[in-house]
Amino acid sequence: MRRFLQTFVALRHRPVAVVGLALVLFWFAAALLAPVLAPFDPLTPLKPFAKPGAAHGDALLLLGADTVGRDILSRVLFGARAVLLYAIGATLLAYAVGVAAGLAAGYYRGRVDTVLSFGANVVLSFPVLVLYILILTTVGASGLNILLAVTVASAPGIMRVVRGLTLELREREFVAAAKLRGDGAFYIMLVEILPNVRGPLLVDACLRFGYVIITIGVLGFLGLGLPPPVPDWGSMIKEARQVALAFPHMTLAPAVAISSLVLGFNLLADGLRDLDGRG
Amino acid sequence: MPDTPPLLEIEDLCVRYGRRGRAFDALRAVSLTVGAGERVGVVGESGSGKSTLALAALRALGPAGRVTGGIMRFRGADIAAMPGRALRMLRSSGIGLVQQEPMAALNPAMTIGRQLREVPGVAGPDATAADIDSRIQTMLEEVRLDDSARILAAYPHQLSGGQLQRVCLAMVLLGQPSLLILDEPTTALDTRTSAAIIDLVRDMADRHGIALLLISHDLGLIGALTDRVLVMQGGAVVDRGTAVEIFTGGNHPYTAGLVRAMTPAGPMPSGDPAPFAAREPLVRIAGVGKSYPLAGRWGGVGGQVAALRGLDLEIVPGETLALVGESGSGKSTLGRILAGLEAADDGTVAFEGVEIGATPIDRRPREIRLEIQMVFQDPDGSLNPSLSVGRQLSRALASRGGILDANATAALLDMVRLPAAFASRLPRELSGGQKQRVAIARAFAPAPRIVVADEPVSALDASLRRDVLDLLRRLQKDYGTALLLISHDLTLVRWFADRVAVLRDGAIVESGPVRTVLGSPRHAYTRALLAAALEGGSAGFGRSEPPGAP
Repeated sequence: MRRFLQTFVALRHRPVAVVGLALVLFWFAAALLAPVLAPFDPLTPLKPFAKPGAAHGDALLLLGADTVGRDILSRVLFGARAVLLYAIGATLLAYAVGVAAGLAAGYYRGRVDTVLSFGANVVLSFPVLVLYILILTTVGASGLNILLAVTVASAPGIMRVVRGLTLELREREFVAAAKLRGDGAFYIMLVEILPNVRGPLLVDACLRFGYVIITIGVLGFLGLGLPPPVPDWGSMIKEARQVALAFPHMTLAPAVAISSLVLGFNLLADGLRDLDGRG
Repeated sequence: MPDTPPLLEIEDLCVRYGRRGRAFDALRAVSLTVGAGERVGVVGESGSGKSTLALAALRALGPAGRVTGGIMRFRGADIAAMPGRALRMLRSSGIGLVQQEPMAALNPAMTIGRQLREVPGVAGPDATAADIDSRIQTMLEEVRLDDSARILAAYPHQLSGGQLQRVCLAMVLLGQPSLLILDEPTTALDTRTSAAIIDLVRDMADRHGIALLLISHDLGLIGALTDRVLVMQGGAVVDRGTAVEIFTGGNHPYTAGLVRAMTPAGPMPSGDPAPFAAREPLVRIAGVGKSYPLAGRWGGVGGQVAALRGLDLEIVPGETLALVGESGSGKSTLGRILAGLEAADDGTVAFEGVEIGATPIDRRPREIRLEIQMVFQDPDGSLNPSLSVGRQLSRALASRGGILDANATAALLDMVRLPAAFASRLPRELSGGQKQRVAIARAFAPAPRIVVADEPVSALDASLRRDVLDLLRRLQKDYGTALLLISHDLTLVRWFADRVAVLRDGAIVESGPVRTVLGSPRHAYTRALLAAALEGGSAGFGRSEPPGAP
């Protein structure tokens, strides 16, 4: 943990990474403080089609209201909760599966590798969107199933990264030294190899995190996202799509939210990659 | 001011890496001149700024390094102010650079022939393809690469290290440079090959009147090739003089220390095999063979290469047995089979009567597993970069079972003369010599019966080798451990081992007490190895006498 913090402290000399980190922290703060910051309840219809800045009672609808009349600012803030929660959950789950499979495939090689790599290649051969639609229409759209779908779709890519690094690391002499003192395969994979994979994985995680957020947005847009009335940015765009030309503010706010959060993670990943390359 | 300026003139050169908080001065006011045809040596340990000097002279420092002061001139022209065209001329036909790793200097995806034809200025502007080919042909003959048709059609990975370094030399010489900078040209090669390369460089410099700037940590090599020597430490020139002056101790305590560290210490401390002769062998190796599949052209299996062919050897408890031979002779393979990192194809390896030759480490009985430990060549690869030193050592201590406290790790560090505070450090915060000490501590932690040390000091600076070897020997005596020392350095072996076995093409050609084998070798191959070692340019303990000394 100390080293993890040191990494972020070292980022301060990279303006791009600082911007990225600020965007990410902004949305985390928004998600955490949504109940305090949001001026209205995100689910209560107030004033359908209100323009940004319209007054409602003694408060303002700063970003306007949607077709049903719900406050867009409040929905965007609460939407950050849903998006971040599911993005974090899905990414972590995908990493747990992908890292485990990658370590096993790279360390044991042989038949274990053949089977795992074959499975990964099958999944990767599907266009991602088709895969999501396939999974979610089969098992139904729900929060848990989004986690599952993202895991199935992302774990093979993570596995490939980890497998490649493990293949190289297992030949290093510190692994030989661990074998000579009698350490078993699990100890070697988890203690000797895994920490050395952390650097490249941290970068990969940031990029993938942004990607998962887009995915959740796209799924919401396709009607395969979190079941209504949970405010999720993708479904907000979908609901306002029909009237987007007349009322652009309804789609603009969630769209800006998605892109700024994804941009934040990508910039952060760039900064981390530079740091990693420098050693 | 003389009419013709010197070839290379460097005045008060300062180079800095990194920026602001993390800046590091690699060169501090270094001055140096090389006249036409002159041969100058730069000696110093890794990190002393030697290689930075070479790169700065070619304006090839890369984005991380900046020249912060001083002037560099080539034939009187300021290198820093050269426009693109002049700089390209400087790099192609002014100064030639040969680096340490020939494999890294060549493109792995192109044949040697194609890379040589690409050299700028390989022939005049009107040269035909045939002219170019004949020039390349002549050059390959000059660098003594005989089988030129095969060499030209080969990819770098199909050639040996020595052949690759010859190719690099040919490549550089095709540009007809007037100054050749050699940056550790033989460090990656074994003794016999490096002796041949040195010989070749000297010959080429004589024939073409090329000036040499030789950068090395190896005083033997510097002495064999250069007339004038600069000693560098921490980015500054601390001593300079003729080769004889430097080799007789120079004017600076650092020079004296460097010279002392590279010459063997007095008479052989060991060499009396009598106490070991009577003992029952710890390890009996009989008829061991091992082959590796060769990759075919399209990635399939294309035949086999034998690393060991019916090798016999016995190791007695407590002795130091040196295994010598050129790279590729199978030395390391034998060590790895003994340790269980590879399995023998046939023959037997018996450890106190238990057959272990074909049993990989994870299937050996636990008692035997801990009895054989290894010290590896590369100190960077042998420690886990992500775990603290203390954690790696305590794990090794715990492998024997028993109660473990913080004092045990501290005691282990103390045993290899490192402060207890090092336990919380990561390997990258240690120097190469310190890392190797930790690796040695780790090997001895489970109190093994035998330690296999595979080139334990060849990756270290010459001045550190003595200390690390002394340490290894002291621990070996304290623990009564047998040591299988794998080395290509005969001088080191002579000084360090009780018995020696000479390995060639996977079989022992001669073995016996060090004095007998190295004193009066019976086999022609042993004599050839000895001759190459004496010719100079050995990797550290090369010379018993400074060259040029009375």
